[in-house]
Amino acid sequence: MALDRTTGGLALIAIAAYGLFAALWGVAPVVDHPLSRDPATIAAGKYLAAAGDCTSCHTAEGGETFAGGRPLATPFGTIYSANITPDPKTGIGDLNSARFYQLMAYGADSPLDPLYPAMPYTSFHNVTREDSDALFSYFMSGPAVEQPATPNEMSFPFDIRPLMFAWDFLFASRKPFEKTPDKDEVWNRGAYLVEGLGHCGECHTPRNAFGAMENSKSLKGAVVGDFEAPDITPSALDGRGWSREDLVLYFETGASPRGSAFGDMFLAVKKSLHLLTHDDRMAIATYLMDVGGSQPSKGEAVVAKLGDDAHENRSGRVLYLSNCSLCHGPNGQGVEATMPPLAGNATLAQPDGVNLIKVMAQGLDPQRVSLTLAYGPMPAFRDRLSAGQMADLANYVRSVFATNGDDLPKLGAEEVSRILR
Amino acid sequence: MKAMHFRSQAPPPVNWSRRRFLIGSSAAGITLALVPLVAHAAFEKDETMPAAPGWSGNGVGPPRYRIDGYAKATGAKLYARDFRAADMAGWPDETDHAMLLLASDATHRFVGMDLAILANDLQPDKVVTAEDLKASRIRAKGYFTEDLMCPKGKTPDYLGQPVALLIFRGLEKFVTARQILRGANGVIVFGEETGAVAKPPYGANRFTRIGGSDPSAPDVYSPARDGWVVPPRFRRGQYPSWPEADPAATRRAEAYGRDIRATLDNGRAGRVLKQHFQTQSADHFFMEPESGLAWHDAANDRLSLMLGVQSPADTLRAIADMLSDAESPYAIKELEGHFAYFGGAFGGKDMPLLPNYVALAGLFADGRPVRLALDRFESISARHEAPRRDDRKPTGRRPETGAFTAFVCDLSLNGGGTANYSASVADAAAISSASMYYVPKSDVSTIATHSHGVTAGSMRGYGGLQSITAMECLVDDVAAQLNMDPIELRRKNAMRTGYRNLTGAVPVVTIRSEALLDRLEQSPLWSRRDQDRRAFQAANPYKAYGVGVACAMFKYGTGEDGALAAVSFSADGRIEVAASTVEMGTGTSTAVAVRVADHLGRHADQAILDSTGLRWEPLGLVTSGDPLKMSQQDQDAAAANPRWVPVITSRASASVGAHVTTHAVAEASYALLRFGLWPAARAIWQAGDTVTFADLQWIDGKLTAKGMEPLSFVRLAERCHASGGTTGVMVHAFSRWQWAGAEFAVEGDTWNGAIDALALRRGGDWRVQDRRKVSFPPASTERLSETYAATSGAIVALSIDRTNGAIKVLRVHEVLDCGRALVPELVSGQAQGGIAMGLGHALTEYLPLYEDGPGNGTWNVNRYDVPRARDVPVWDMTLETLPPVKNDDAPRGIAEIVMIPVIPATLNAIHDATGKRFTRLPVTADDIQKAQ
Amino acid sequence: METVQISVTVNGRQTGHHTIPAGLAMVDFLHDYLGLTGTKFGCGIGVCHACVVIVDEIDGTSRSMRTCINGAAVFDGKRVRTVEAHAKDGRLSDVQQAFVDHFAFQCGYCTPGFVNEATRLLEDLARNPVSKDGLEDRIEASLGEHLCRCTGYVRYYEAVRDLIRANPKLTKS
Repeated sequence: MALDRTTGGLALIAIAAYGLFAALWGVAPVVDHPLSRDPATIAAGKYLAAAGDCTSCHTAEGGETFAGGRPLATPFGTIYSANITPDPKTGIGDLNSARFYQLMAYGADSPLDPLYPAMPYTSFHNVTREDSDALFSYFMSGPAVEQPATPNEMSFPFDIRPLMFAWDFLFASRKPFEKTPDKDEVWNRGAYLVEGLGHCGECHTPRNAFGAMENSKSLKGAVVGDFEAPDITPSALDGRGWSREDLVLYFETGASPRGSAFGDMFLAVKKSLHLLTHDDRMAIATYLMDVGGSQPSKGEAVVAKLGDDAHENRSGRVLYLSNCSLCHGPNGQGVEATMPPLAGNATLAQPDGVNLIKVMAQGLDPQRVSLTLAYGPMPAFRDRLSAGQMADLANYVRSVFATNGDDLPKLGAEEVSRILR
Repeated sequence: MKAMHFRSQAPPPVNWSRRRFLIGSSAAGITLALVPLVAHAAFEKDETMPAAPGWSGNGVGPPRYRIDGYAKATGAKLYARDFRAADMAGWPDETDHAMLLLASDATHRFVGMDLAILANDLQPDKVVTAEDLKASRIRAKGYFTEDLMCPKGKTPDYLGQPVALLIFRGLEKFVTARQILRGANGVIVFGEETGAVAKPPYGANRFTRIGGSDPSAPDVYSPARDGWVVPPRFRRGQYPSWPEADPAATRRAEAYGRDIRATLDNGRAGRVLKQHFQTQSADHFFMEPESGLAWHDAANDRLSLMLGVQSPADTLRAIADMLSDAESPYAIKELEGHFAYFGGAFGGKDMPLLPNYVALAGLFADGRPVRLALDRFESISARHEAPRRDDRKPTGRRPETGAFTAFVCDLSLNGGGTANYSASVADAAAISSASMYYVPKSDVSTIATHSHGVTAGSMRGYGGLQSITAMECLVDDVAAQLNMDPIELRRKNAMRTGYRNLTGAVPVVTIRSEALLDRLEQSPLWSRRDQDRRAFQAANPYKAYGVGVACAMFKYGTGEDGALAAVSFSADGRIEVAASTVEMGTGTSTAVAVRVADHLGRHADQAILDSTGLRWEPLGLVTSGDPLKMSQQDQDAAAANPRWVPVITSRASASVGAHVTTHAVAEASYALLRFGLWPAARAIWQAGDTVTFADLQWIDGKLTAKGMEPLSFVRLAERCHASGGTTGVMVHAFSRWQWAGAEFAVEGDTWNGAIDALALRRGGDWRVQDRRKVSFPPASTERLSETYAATSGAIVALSIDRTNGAIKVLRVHEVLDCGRALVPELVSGQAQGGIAMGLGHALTEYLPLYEDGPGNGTWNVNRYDVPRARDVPVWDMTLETLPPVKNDDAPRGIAEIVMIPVIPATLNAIHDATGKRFTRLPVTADDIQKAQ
Repeated sequence: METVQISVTVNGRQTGHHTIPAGLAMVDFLHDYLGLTGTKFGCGIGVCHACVVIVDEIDGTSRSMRTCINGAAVFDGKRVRTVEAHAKDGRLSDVQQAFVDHFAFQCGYCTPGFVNEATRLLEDLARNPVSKDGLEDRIEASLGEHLCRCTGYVRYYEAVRDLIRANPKLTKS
């Protein structure tokens, strides 16, 4: 009995302490700035919203823009994005710039219902207050859409929202962005975009068992949904043949000599990177390649090794010629802005072959970036090729077309099956 | 000064002669023969495409289906691309394959080729270059004024100019080599940068008009009254120099034009609205990429070709010109053309360049048949709709009435690297630039310039599409400025029957603009637009709803239209009709079979489209001179020969199918009734003079008159054949904005027909009936221009997502004056296709002009965004045709007019939805986002 | 040149072995080896779908496949139906007849692809009927990738809709 009471007392104290922690640490106080209706601020906010790709998560398929309701599947359940239109009842109309910033940077504006980190406040804490205010101005300038939130479908105990403060305490940094003094302005601008609004790490950084980004492995690649978000640390990019100029082109168009963007990355290009200024794209590439802003980077020439009929992997070669070469060309040359080249394609150079196999299996939908840039669809080969055939084909294109083809391990049918499982 | 000064050079004189279609001196005596395709493997013994069984329905009313319906639904060989040497009678069986290497650069010197990327066993068996052509004295002439291939050491004239023709023996080698070459770098080697080749403009004209006291009164000054005006020279090689002009007409045009411009500047013309408008370079994207077969039969000095084009005779003549000075072993005596049933391409196969290269491939393939079939990358770089700039377009108008007072417009067309039809397109753009509206004073200049862009020329819409689009947007802006209803403003200023157009010519057809505007106004899509908007926007708060209206008036015909038709029947009553045209998909073959029923009581059983010399030999026609440039004196002298006509056949272009082609069919059918069936009926009835020809009536497929015994067609046919009567009629008709007419005496019966040549078949033999008198439209009539005009209007409803600018077309309603619809389903089918193509022009289709454009060989339909079904309101497209004024109202050419108003209506709807005026095509979601 | 041997059953007739280049497109094989030119080459990059044929699987299902981007070797051992196979004894198939009745096509170059795709749609619906309300969406989903430049798609789509509505087994409430 006494024990019970003690337990109960301790529990109460713990709850009270947690409450205090949630209120003081969880929702750190922020001063309010008046909402700006200045068109220049709104325009700046619109640009930042593109840099943060806010619309992709906050607009449901076929739904009103920014009205939320888009399901985001996580290992812990399904979360529905919030309505960020200025509707006072169901949107953000009743917020002020301080609460908006609290949500952006800390993921919480009240001790009772903090956000889940599906909202990347884990990255957005790097966003400056000024940029946050501009975003708020932009969102508040649109039409209000009354659309109540869809209840999340989280499993226990993740459905107890205040517990997120503990998660935040353990995993979410709240430090504002700081420039690295020995790097130049371009590099630092890139770092600000990549680590902040761009929230690149949310896909490209592996996560731990609690779903948190492993900071020690920042940008070292992770599996997200269907595809793998590859390792985009400088040495990995370099190893797959990327140059800074290739990356800039890729961000602008989704196409480059190192291959094309597909899956979620295509959407990131189309809805975000494509809309940025050239300077910002250059800054991002500079940071990712870790080169000086004015230092030219190498563009590695790729020579396809094809030409001899007697290829050791004959099965792979015949599969390539009959299934792939009609579009990508017998030498993997592709057609500029129409068919991605395979010769020198960076996806082929990813050692585990996950993305290559998945693209082969699932195909790709048509992708249009602009009036003059669009790829046609790529067919799915899942029902047409066996795992063994896919392995032969993958080994063939890797060995012939990847810049590091000689160093890549051979894939077997079991690995293909595992990747596609 | 003569009009159309900058058109291509005059074609050489041509004679139809026994069994051969002879070309005159310029072609060094090469005989041309156009041969109907007899090798249709799919049709076995039948030498033409069999009519679809039961297509005709009850034989009188609208047909059940297209006459070519079965053939097309079953994949029959109808397209040039379907043929190989083995399909051609008398040719060797094996086919070699050729491809063109096209210059992807036109600002650097062409140094040579490097085919090292091809392994030894994949090297071409033959490489043909400019140097080979020069050594053989082969060169393009006239219409194709540029080098056929770029010589080494020269900068290519234009992007996409061929630098070599590669011929491969065997399909296997060819397909493999071609795949390696596609997208490969460094195959064509370029040297130092030279900049683009500069050349003078292809043509320019000025249309200045000062109207008389009312819209129908004689003009004070106009091109129709005083002659067309061209600039005597170009400043800095590009800009027309008007003021320094010497000839009197030019000086007067300049004086009047300057005065009109001054009244706009000083406010005397009322309030003025200015606009700049820019349209894009577009591709026809016809579905069948260009292709052809050739075989040089050296033993007989004959080159045989198999092609699919809109212009069989003209294409063959151009090839004969190219080879007229060729030296052995490439000198030929005979050029034989086989043409596929289908040759349509929205203008893209109207005098295309490719057949010249097909012929070259044939000549250089060492006596083996060879096929040159472009892939889509090549086809899309081959020919284009030219981009246009519509600079400055002030329209003065009286604010109190909204009546337009003056109109000034300067048009400029980027004609790309070859002359093509650019100059003529520029003229058509100018003449139609006021759309469906009357303006008392106008000054419109137009120029077609050269550039190093891909070959640009004509396409469905032929310049009018661009200039009318600009005008219809301007009219909406005027309405907005005056706070007037856009339809009301259109009604105030609409052309009406008898009014003069911008050239001072009076359209010879009724202009039913009021009825058209009434229908548009009453359409629920228009009249309920405010309710619709409220409802839509309430349901879609992030979207804006817009409705736009626009009209169009555009010519059909070319002012030099010739048509041949033959209608005949067998003893068992089967009617066959032949017409000298090409099926473009529009359904001309069906329409000619249907038009026979005007006079013969039922449709023809078989329709043959055939431009060959052989079939029309009985008429013994000859021609000479250029129908557009000929003087009255020359015409009168030539017309003294009863077999002479100004032009023998026309290309399938300019929406001439329903109007020109079926006119000749109708005249032939009438003559067959009058000279064949009527005498037979009279003989059976034995009614003497109590029954006259005028009493004849077809009732339920039987001929009767004043209660006489109804006679079946079979019975009449039998009688005609048995008695040696007339069983077939062949005619030639010519139109220069009005039909030529002639008087014929047939067995004591005098007939004045709207034709200029006639032959009758009796007892199996065709005999020509020379005309006794002829009246050709005066030579000066050609300057009238565009007096056959069709009108249409469209209403487009669309939504725009305010956050991302995405445009969704929700509904389209079109109103059309097509005269009499020969086959209503074909008319509405044209309209539906035109609407889709118009939406593509307005919203999605775009080609960069130069280095990034299709000349670089990387453009295909993944990027060139042709409308898919999801871009078109497939289930929500409606069409209303104005009922014909009277039952025999002539059918009008509508293939272009159905497309045009959709584009400005879309832009006006975007304006309605966003409040923003877009004056560059296409308008994309990005553009809308940027403008917000 | 890498070559392979294939044998294909086209329109019920077994053909082969043919020795062909491994990279030979199926559309070229149909045209130049078998003389079947009803299948049309349009874009060559798998976008316009003019070249679609039907491939019949052993389990009774079928799929449509583009022949411009797929090598003939891909069809080795398969059963293929082309536009030439649909009419029997001079009688058009239901789909062909519906297109003809509706004046669905103009130039006709995209027609073989539409005939094959619509035929497959009807065969699918015979196994899994579509709800009446979802019919138009289903047609759009099935035929939506097929390009046509002449017709605005209206009559093709109406022809297919009317044909499906006329057969109560193909739809459900």
